[in-house]
Amino acid sequence: MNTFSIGMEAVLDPTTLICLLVGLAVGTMVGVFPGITGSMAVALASGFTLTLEPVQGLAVLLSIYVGANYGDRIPSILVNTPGTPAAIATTFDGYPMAKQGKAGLALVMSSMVSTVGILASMVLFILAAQPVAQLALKFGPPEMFALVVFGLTIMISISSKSLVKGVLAGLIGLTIATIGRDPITGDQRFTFGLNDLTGGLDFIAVIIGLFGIAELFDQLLTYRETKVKPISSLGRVWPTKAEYRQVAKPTALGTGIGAFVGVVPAAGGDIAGLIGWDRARGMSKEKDKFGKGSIEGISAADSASSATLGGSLTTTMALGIPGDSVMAVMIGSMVIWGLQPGPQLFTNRPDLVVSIAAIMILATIVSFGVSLVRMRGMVRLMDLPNHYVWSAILIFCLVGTYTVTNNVYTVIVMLVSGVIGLIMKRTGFPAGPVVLGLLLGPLAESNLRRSLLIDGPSVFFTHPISLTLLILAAVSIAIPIIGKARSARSGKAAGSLEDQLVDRTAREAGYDGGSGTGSDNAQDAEADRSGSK
Amino acid sequence: MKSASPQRRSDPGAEPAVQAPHPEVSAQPADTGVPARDSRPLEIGAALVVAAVTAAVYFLAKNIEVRIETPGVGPRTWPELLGAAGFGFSALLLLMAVFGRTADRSDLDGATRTGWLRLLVTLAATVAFIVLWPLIGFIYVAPLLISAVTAIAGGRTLRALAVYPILATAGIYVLFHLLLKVPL
Repeated sequence: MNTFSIGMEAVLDPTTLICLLVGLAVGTMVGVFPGITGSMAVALASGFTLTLEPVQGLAVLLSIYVGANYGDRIPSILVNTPGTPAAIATTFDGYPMAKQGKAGLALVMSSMVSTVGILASMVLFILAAQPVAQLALKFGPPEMFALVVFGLTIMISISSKSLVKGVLAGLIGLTIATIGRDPITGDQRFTFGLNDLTGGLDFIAVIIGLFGIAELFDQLLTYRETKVKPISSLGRVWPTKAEYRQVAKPTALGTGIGAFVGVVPAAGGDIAGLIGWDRARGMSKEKDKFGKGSIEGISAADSASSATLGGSLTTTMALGIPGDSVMAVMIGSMVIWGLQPGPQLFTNRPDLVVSIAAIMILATIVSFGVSLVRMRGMVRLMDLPNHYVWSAILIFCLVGTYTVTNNVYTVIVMLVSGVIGLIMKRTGFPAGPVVLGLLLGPLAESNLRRSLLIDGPSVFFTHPISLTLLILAAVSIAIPIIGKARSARSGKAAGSLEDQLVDRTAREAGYDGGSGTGSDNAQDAEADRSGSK
Repeated sequence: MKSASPQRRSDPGAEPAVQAPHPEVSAQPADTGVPARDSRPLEIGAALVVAAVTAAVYFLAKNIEVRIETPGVGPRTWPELLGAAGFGFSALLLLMAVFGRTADRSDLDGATRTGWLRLLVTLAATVAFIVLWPLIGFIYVAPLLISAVTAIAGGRTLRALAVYPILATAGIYVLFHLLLKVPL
């Protein structure tokens, strides 16, 4: 039996298909509820998928990833609140379309272009992942260390409002990863004589704490009663032939942008969606309609944010560096299953790579069908009161974490991580670099020590690939520093690169935060947006 | 990584727009969100805590016991490097917190007094759950926790406080204990 048939057989197993459907259902529901993100859901699910076979577990996790990508457009369009950060750009034109009585059209168009984006990006994965993995097989310890540094700095520069806090978060993550036994000599580090710490802190417990509990606690802390009701009337659903022709170019543009952005570690759907929307507006003959209910705008934004899935998967599977936060969780789960994402995966388990691609494609097709058929049902989900959602999240966090080791100690680690995660969020320290540091810390340390033993510190500068990656890392840190210096000179407050991109694009969409300029539509949209959780 | 919750873009000074809604569109009442306030003491406190932690990491790393002492790179090297780098950056953060512009927190929602109460009670309930779970058993403690959190979050009906917790506990028990063979 060849690799392809083995991989496909594993996916077409009835249990795997059931897992896929369960994951899609969970992912779609998660996407619909603003405040519950894909990373949170995948972190929770990774706890109780550990008892499944790897392909079945991956079916759950990957289909949550896909389902959330469809579900998060619904609140963006109907309530002007993105279900996950990847749907921020969808609000620019999706909500105005809904207010014009075209909610159904916006939802359907979003589903269609998202499907095109994901499937196209999976072609990228199928074509590019193996060659990238082959290249990465030639990486030695200096290249691997430089790659980790690059991945960390990219994440810090993109998502941290304060570079210093981002760097500190990364260092904290790397430090947490040192708890336990030294990977080379086996000596105990930071265990304080406790047996439970000799294996280190459980990755799943920490991420459920940082992404699940911290977010829940923040919502408990800040929730204010709002009475924003979702738009209930869907109006016309199916696009006309002219509309199909109109969205072809922006969809193609968005897909290309998304696939490229997805490959960059830490750059995900939110950044791709914003860039896609911006570029599509640049090349459109109807620029003025962008931000006011343009079907081109929603097509470009959604195809771009969706197309990052394949690019992110490529980076994760081929290099072992997570393309986004969901992939970081995925890597953690795969390691527990005894699978190491990275170049070795293509050599040792090529059938698994086939399975992963098949799961993504199947999940996308099924999600598309479900999103068209069950649209009204999903809209009603948003009416579910918070007290059901919060208690459900909490109990699933607790039980899901427990299933990792069947030990209450792990639950305690999760809770402590959650409290720390809340403090980090309230004080402006990003959680992403912590997770990445925790995940890649052992890889970074072992490769650093091997490199230093081989040739000393100069080895990083004498190997071309390692030198290039370190230069790129330095550039990725320098760009936000320069950007902030420029903002300070012009008197504007500067957030992270992500924040700046959102602010600039939101301004161009006509959401100018109540300055008195801009259309009624734009002002109303801003008031509605800031009224939601 | 992207923040766990979607960025809320709000301007506290924005007036809710008044416009005639589309005939099919339901009403959209006004915004009630309030952003978090900037706080220099918070920034200074955070920087001091991180400085203390990273300094502790450095000193603890220097005292790591190794079975075989080797010159050069060893089990202490990486943690010492991280501790030292962390202390350096946290010192920089402290200087920025004291002398620089206060960090902007407007992208965060402001905490409410009720929110603090909700949070602390939920935390206490969760700790009690973790303590009682091994002593009493999941089946008895879980409905109490779910009911407590539902009540804290505003649930008041019999369905929310009794029926839902029991059904949720039963569902979780079936899924995890019976199907996934997790010993709850």
